[in-house]
Amino acid sequence: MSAEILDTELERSRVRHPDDPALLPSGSHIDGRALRGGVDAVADFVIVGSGASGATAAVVLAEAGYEVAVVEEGPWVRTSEFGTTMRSATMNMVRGAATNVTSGGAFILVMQGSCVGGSTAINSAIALRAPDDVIDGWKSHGLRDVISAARLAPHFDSLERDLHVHAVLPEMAGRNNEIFAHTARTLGLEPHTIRRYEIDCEGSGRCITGCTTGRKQGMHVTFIPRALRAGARIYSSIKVESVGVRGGRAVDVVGYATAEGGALPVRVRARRGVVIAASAVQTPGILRRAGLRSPALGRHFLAHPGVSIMAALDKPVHMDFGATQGCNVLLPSDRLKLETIAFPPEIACARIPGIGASFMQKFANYSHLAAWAVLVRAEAEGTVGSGLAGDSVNYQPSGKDMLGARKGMKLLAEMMFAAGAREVYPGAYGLPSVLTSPDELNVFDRSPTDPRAYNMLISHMFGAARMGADPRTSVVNTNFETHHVSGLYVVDSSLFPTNLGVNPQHTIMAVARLGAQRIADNARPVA
Amino acid sequence: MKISVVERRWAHLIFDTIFPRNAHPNLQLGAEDCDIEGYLDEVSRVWPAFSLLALRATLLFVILATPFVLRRPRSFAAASPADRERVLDVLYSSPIYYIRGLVVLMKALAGILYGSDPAVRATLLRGHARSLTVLTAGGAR
Repeated sequence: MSAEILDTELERSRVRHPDDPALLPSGSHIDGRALRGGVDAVADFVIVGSGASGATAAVVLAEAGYEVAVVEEGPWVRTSEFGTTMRSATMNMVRGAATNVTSGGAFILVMQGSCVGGSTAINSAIALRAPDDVIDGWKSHGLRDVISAARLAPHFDSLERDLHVHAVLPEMAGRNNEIFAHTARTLGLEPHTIRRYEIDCEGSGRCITGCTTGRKQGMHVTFIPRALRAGARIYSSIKVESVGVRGGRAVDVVGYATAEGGALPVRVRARRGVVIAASAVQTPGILRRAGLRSPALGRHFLAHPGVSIMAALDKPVHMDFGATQGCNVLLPSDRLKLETIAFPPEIACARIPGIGASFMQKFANYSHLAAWAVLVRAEAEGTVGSGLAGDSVNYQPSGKDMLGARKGMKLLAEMMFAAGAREVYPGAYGLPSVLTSPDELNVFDRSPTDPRAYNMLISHMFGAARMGADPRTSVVNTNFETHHVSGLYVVDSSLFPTNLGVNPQHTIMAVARLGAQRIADNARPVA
Repeated sequence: MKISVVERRWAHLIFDTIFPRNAHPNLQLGAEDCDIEGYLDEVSRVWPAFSLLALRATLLFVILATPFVLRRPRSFAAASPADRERVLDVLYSSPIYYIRGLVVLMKALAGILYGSDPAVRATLLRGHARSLTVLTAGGAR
């Protein structure tokens, strides 16, 4: 390592990021791990969750002049504390240390952030607007024109200004993205450079382990600090157990701090309302524990299951440099999205076939490995329930969804061979573990449609507390308030009636912004 | 719920079988060169109880399955490195989903340890990421 690089890194370590406690208003962060006694506090609005939707709602409500308290289950891991590996990320910032899986057949990994900033701290910062026809299709689910493409447009505009959304710059793309784009074009596909929330990205390839340079504009360095500056408070490392309801109205959030000395009771009273923004997996459980007995609660869970493919190319790829995800191909008629995803070595380990010496031969070639993935806008619906291990997702892609995944995998493998792959690793049971020639691509036509044959992952989740006009088929009304409890609001993707076909953070934030403005406008007088 | 001393010994053997030493001229480090004990401590502390139970069941399953796979009364610990690799390979490609799923879980777990190790990364990564890895190695532990 050169002295120059060392100097640069040491210089960087002295940089203060917006989540530095010294830059935040005094007393605005209450760390549950450091508490010595219980908490009994009060605010106008209590927001549960500090991810894309919760942080957005916090900014809107705090800047509208309301007293806001955000309650987050995970810790606040500061940018200066981020490690550079999945080991540190999974242990400190990912729900269940990345061991949570779906039930119902195949174990599909459920990836969610569990820290201040939520999944925005560990995702690739992709800012894609949901297609207009998808959003406008929500009318048919009883949303009338409450959420339409036209209504969301100004919110998208505002978010893009606030969070510095722009396309990945060519010099920061990295080879994994460049090769994908070039090959897609060669095969007649239309690659798009991904737009992301970032300022001066350095291409460290570590979006998914926490951006150590603070360039990624996740909620932990943007909207949460901004909300705190507008007077909000955040309680981290507080597990919310329930929402108190009195006289049909939400009155407080009750939970406990995961303090070092043991669990301590926490209660934050809400003068005007409780806003749930805990994700499509956790929100239904909180509503259920609040006593909500909607027949639609926990139903209609939707996702974008994804499968990745790796290949050893005939040229260096260096996935450790460049945008983690910088290029994609949208195939809406097939309900597919092909995309790049730079795997750090510790993730690549799980996707390279083999055990022992045969595995090590391939892994030692990491510098030449490429990783791309297909996401399916799945039609399958699942449910979210509560089990012994907490909130649980029962979900399996349908046969039709798997046919789509298979088609996407074949396309990716074809692209990889066109890019000069010497070996392609499909990673599916029933297929050869290594393909060495494009003549073998037809194996995908015979590959199983059983999800158990694949190593799948979901990180985009929707539904389970749908919005709609009919209380029999939906949980949340068109004012973002639950049908059955007044003053209890939902602003996260659990209210979405469909999935999107693109990465959801941008749409989640736009909907949360719209919802929070409506909640602020309709806020009842203090009781 | 702690991982016991015996289970830790099994984990060492399994991790080392997945990531053996001296398997490639450019990558001579094996899992045994990594901080397995510290990692297992971390897993014990952070993993949800249900996941930890699955991990312990996986360790036990591999040990119990060894004589059946090898078709002779040999424990995993007493088996040669080649036989251990064969055991894991057979389980890894089992037609029974739950069996191969267990080994996939074990490989993913060991992979997080191995691929996150600063020395392994220094071998695999190019300058930019390598420099950050070395400088922040303390935070990664």
